[in-house]
Amino acid sequence: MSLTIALAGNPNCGKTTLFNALTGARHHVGNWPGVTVERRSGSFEQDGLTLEVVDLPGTYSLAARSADERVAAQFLASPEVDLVLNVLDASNLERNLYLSTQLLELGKPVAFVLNMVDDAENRGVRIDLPALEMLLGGPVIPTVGNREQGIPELKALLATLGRGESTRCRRITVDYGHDIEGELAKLETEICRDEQLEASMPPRWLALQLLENNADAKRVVGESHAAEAISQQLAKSFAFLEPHLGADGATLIAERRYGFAHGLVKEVATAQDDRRTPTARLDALLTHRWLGIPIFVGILALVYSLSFILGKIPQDWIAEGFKALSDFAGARLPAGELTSLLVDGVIPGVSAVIVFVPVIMILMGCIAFLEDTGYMARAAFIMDRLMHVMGLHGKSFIPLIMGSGCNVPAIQAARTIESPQDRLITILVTPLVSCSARLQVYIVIAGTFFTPFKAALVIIAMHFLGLGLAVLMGRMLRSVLFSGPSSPFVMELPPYRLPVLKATLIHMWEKGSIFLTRAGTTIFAGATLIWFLSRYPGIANREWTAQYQDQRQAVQALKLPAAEAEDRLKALQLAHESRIVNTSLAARLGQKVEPVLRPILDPDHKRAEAWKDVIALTAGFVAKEIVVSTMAVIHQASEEPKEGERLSPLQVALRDNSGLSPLTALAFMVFTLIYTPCLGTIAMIRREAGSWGWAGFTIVYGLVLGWGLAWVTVAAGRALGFA
Amino acid sequence: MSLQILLAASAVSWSAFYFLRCAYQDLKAGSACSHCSSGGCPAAKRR
Repeated sequence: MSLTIALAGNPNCGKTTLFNALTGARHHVGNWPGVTVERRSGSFEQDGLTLEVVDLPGTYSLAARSADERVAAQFLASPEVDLVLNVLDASNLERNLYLSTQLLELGKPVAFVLNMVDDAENRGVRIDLPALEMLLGGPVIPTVGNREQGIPELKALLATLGRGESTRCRRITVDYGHDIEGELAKLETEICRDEQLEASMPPRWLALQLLENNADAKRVVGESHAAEAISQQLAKSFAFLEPHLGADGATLIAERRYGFAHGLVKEVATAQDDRRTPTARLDALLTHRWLGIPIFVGILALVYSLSFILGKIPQDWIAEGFKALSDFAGARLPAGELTSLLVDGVIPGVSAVIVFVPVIMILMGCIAFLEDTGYMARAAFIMDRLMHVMGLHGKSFIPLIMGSGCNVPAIQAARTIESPQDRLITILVTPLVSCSARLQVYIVIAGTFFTPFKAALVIIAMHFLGLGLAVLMGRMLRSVLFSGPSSPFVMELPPYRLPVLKATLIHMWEKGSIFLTRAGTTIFAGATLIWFLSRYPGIANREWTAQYQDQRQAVQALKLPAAEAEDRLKALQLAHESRIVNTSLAARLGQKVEPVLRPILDPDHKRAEAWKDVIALTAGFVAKEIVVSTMAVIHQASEEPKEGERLSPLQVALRDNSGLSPLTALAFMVFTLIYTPCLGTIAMIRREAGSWGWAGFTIVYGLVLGWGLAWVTVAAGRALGFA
Repeated sequence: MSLQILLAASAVSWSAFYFLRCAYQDLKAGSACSHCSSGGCPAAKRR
């Protein structure tokens, strides 16, 4: 029985020295790159097994440019190779790992030799070998090739791998981000149409090479009967990626690979001598052990404040537009159900969501900008350390970050986690991360009851509370329901780069258009149903309508000064509408459920309006955006802010009539953050976790935890003297 | 007046139908979340 092992690595990393040490050959070695320019083979016997070792020319990448590099690249991808032995120069680990990221994509088992560890130690570099082995997904043997240190261990390992007795090789791939991964998946689908092509090399590897515009890969595809379909998909992928991410496929993929290498080195090596590059200098500050998190919070505070200040300008224009529309509809349409539906239901409900679209768009634009600079990867890196400390899977942080946009794709993103237990834990805690729909509730409530600066802090605190709870809950689930260590992974740290304005604008528009589309469908339908529930049966009571008309005529007959008459008519209208709303189906339902939430929403038993919060939260079971629109419909948000006030009609109604205090408003936000995922998220949990039981568990623990923490908020606030 | 009632009733019926249909699709397939209407679901794109 024999095994073919390919020695692969960067030029001048000591491959030939190792080759000589393993096979007893005497090939020329030298301390400069390019000594080996063709493949050479030799063999040795170990434990009754013949192992053939092939020494290849050194290469920095498998995207071969020179002839000798092509020799290495073609041989490594060929079926002749049973095992790749990747030689890494311990003193230049980060640069060497770029090739490793490609070797890992070849679909063959990869073992690693960390050569020249003495040089690295002399330079003060300390490498955590067990961590390196776990993160690379293959065994790592430290060696000093020219002194034959580590060679017996290496031979023994190769024999173990040859007999198939080792389980130390895992399949690790670089995560290229959802946009590139999406295009890779589409290309793989097209490649798999040709079974021969699929068998010749791993489809993912071929797809990656195509996205890198590799001429050899294109030639291979050109000979396939699926060539046309693959080429068409490739053209679509290029057309999608470049405007979205602001660079060509090769650059983007290389950046991700460097990010993987950089992140891995940051995890496993200390005192790396790389402080001269701009990225390293920035990283020294931004990923600093103690300063990293305060800087992250500071940047977020700046982003949120900027979004509110800049967003206020278009927000006022939109509010003006909706007010004009409402006035027009109220004045021109005859009184009746349809007019009420428009003026009291659809317009306030839809406008309550749409006025915040500019804020959300600016916020998402800022976050996309930070993502494109490479800073968000650093933020994930900082938080990943915290996750490790808490015993959670580091990869769980990716879905948690995605969850701040929408929980539904975030739960699906947990598929990248290999361990079923880690994946399930991530699925169950992801709904605790505050999504952009819940953000609207915070913007409305915090903007009403707190000053702009405090409101920004409260909103950031809500996001961190959600993240913190997800981590704590994950920790608790791991210790109570699941056991065992979490599997490791590398948090990629791509180099910093100046974002492309067009890419940021595309992200902004996509996020804004999601809200606009939802405003036209879900919000519209939600506002209509809430209008029905909060206006019937009172609106159909002809006796009440007649009384109201009589009262209006009586006021008009008094011939009062115009301003006074207008005030009286407004008061009459409000009293009439309040009578309808307070006797509606929604009121009856809300008043029945309200005692359950009274300790958090009405601890002093003074709020007659508390049932309205209950209805808004109940509507949030369907989708969180509906909470805000329901509040607008049910609180009869039509009062205009006073001159100089920066509030929307809903915020005026909440401040003047809801009876909420800053403390109960805070408890309302805490409850909204935690209480239960929306219907779409629940359905996704059921699908991904494979059981209704887990979906039900998420609802129940959310309700219990939400109620408990909101109650603690009220109790602690009151104990500290807040009303 | 009756036209107003008819139109309002149609809107309410459509809204109720819309929610029931969405709930059915969500719970049956788990995929019709409609959260990412314009850009498409990033997780779905991944598959």
